[in-house]
Amino acid sequence: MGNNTVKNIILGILAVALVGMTVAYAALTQKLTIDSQASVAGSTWDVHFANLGAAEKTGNPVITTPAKLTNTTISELDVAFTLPGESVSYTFDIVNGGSIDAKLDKITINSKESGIKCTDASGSSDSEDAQAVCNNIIFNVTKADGEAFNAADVLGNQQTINAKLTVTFDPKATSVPSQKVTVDGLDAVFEYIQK
Amino acid sequence: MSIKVKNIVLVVLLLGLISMTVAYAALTQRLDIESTAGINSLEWDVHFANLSKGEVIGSPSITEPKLSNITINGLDVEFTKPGESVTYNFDIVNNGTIDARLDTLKINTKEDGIVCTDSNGSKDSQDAINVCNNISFSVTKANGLQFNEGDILSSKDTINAKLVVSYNGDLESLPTTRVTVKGLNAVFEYIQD
Repeated sequence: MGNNTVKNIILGILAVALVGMTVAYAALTQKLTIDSQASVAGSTWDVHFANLGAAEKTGNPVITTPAKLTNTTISELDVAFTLPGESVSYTFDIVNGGSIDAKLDKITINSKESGIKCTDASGSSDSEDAQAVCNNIIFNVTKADGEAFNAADVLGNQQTINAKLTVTFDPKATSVPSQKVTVDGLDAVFEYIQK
Repeated sequence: MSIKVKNIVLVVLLLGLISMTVAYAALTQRLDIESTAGINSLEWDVHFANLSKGEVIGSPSITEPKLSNITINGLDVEFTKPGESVTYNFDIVNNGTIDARLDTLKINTKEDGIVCTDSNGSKDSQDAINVCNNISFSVTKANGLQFNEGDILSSKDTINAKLVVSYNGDLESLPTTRVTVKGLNAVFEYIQD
């Protein structure tokens, strides 16, 4: 066996050893991979008023200015009563036209104790006339069936609640004012949030 | 010296030699240490395990991820409103005989790696930007602590971890058209400690 043969054998052994060491070294690393994706669906948030009905009157109140509806307000209604028992009501819808369920977070309906203000012709809120009117004006906003709205009521996406607003001169009133009394603050506010 | 004396001296010397030999022999003690040794075959085995079912907040639509030894992939979450999320628990296991060390860790962020594209293919639309600003992707230890490069995973040890994908923001941040989010990726590279 010549020298070349010996050298070749030695070289072969060294090469195998080197490869072995490399493989051993390479094997001592490990990559762990997490791979994911997501998407966000196109969504819309759209809760609004719609379909304001014609005024329905009991008695002969004079609607000085009819109610007007925009997307998020029903306003401008101005009605003049002359006798107890008169009333005017409007039906309307609260619509969730979006893709997200809504929840009634807060509802505020003014009352004579809070928010409704009666002022007589001389500007007084303390006169007997003013107080009598305030005691006998009834302002209400309910579901169409007469049930009250409650905080936490759910309005699902693409759903509608039928409602109505009513302003009434209490039929139980035993007197009428001797002068014109203006009633302000017949307001209701619905605050909807994402359910 | 007479022959007799010589003989005696010889005997004495012989006896002394024998004695010394015996004594020397007695003063030697062979001490043997016997042992055996071997080289155990080394095992390098760091992998994922025990992927849980998703814990969901809200009503996202989910294609569940799959776990193979070294990958967790295939998760696809579709969010419909802010506040939704999905969480998966999983383990990183060192079942080998060699301690491991987390050499590099890359968790993609919106600044690096996460790409949001709207239905027109745009990454620059307000919808795409809003979604990227509000998507959250995290991979942490199960107690919420961050992984750090240099963390040791000893032989036969396990780290409990969790992966959370969520959509935050508010209603105004919702896109008007579908936005796709790619690159919710994390890569752990362990080496021998």
